[in-house]
Amino acid sequence: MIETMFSTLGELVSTPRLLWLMGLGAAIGIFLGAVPGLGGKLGIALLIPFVFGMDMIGGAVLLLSMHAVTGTSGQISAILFGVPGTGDDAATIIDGYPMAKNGEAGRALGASLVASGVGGVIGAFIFAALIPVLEPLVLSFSPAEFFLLALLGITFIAFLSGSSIFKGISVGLFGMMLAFVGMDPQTGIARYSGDYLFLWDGLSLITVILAIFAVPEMIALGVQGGSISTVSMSVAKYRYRELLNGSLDVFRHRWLVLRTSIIGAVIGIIPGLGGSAAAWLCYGHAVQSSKTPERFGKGAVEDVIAPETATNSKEGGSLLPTLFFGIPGSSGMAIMLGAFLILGIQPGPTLISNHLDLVWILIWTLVVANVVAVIALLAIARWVALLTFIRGGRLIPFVLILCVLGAFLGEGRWENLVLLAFLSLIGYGLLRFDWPRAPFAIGIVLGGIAENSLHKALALWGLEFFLRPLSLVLIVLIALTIGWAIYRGRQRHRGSRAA
Amino acid sequence: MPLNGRICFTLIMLSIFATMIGIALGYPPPARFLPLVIGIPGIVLTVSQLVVDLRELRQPPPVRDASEERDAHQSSRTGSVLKREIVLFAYFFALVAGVILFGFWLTIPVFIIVFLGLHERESWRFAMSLTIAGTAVLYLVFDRMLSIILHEGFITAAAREWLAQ
Repeated sequence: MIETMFSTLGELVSTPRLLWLMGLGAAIGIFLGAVPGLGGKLGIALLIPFVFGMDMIGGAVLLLSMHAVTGTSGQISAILFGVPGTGDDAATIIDGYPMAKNGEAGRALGASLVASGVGGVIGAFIFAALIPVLEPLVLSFSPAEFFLLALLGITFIAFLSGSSIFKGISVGLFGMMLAFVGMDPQTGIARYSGDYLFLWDGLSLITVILAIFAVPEMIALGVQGGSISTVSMSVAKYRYRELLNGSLDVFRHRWLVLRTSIIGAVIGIIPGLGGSAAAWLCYGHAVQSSKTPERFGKGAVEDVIAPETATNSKEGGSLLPTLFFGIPGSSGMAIMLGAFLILGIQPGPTLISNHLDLVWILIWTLVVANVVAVIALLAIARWVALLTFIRGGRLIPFVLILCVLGAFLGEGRWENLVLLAFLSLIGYGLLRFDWPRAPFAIGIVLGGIAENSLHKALALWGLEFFLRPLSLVLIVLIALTIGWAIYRGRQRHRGSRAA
Repeated sequence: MPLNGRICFTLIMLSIFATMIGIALGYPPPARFLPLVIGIPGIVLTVSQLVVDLRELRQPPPVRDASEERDAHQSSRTGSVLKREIVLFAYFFALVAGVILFGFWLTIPVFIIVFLGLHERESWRFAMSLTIAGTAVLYLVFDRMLSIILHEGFITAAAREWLAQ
């Protein structure tokens, strides 16, 4: 195994054709990730016709390197303009955009890019380490655990509400209510959808995130005038040193990086939870574990690091069930699975005995593609960060057009544009009147997962699902989280009274 | 007691929860279970927030320092915040309506040039060059490179059909 591990790395980096395909895949992935609404799924779909006739390894390297880096570039527009490339990048906006406003776009970009790269690399190594114990791990998660994991994420809302607990929890519940739009999983009744077919599958996540986060920020920028960065160019530092400082933040918070990488990879392994859940769970974890949670939402670098690490590390995790069970860990992996079958890769447990070299090539592709993408993006990040100094009025039309394009491209439906316009009014109200928006995103991402899993768990085990061993562990975690939130709240209250 | 924006928004949130609960009551019990479990606490919390807002309204306004006084004066000179918000939302809604009716490729250049020229008072030459550059980049990327078919617009499609006859 060790011999195969090193020989495949040697083969990957010494074969010009594979390097070229990986570079091409990474470049396409960076581009697709940077444009709101496109993302890796579209990329795989677009590349499938080109991999017809390619050999197994070459095609897989091209597709996987493209898919692995889409999450890395989406954060650039999220940090600079508050426009997420995909729903997974929305968590980065909460503190990344305030950092850009504070004149720290360079530091935020450095931290997020390196965090993505490190997350991707750790995710690949977790992939390698978990191969022997994969089967029991995947099988230990059932709808009961999905429900409790979603509930654990939802309890993080208490930490994200800051001083306005009523507002924070209300917004979180509002997000969950919107997650119920669409077909009820149990009765098949279309809830809150009327006769509008486009709502039957639920609200488009990217449209909702653009409406609640991106459009309101652009309207606010237009209202206040000036540039995105409220700090003048002479004060803000946009040297490579600033990027390096952000990069070093990742290593200053190494334990957070390690924890969120593991959480991201494990969530990636579990089919059905998805990347947005990984990002928001890790965001909540960063707030919960911080000694100064009051900094979050105002430009805390940990918030930029945690979701980005998780988003990229989950790619390694989601490849595991895809390759060894034929069960895609995410919707992107579902399309990837189809592409693998086209290339002649037969997913299943026998892959490890028959094609161990291919498995290791894929692991190394994840590692090398992430490193290549981070180096390329770090090289241009300093110049991209200068966009935050351009007068807002010159940027607003382009960013609003990107938002409209993103909302349309997500599902290719014009009706989502109406939804974007309507929800952006609510999003602006939330921003204008200081209602925290992070709980909304957690609510809408995890609300649907919680409901689906609850119904399945009740149908399978009734209320006894709460007594499953892993369920009990998660219930204890939820209780500890709530207890910790109450303790923190009391401490903060005492502190403010003493002051 | 005057209704300020803060209270209005809390009332909007309250009415959203109330409407969603009202609609949910019409669903069969399994389908309405979770919307009610989530929506009823939502109403309780927004009502609590409304009480907090009303209490804050009764308190005397905080004393402004010199910089806040200057900002307020400047704001009154450059037009009220509400007016600027309405204008910007009008532009955004016009963009959305334009895309739905006339499609992306007709609306994008018109929106950029009108926004830069009229709202931002940029020189027409500058607005025109940014419009051409921006539209060209979007066209090359989405239409030529990715071959993505964007919404054509209902009026544009109807006009094209009418011209083809």
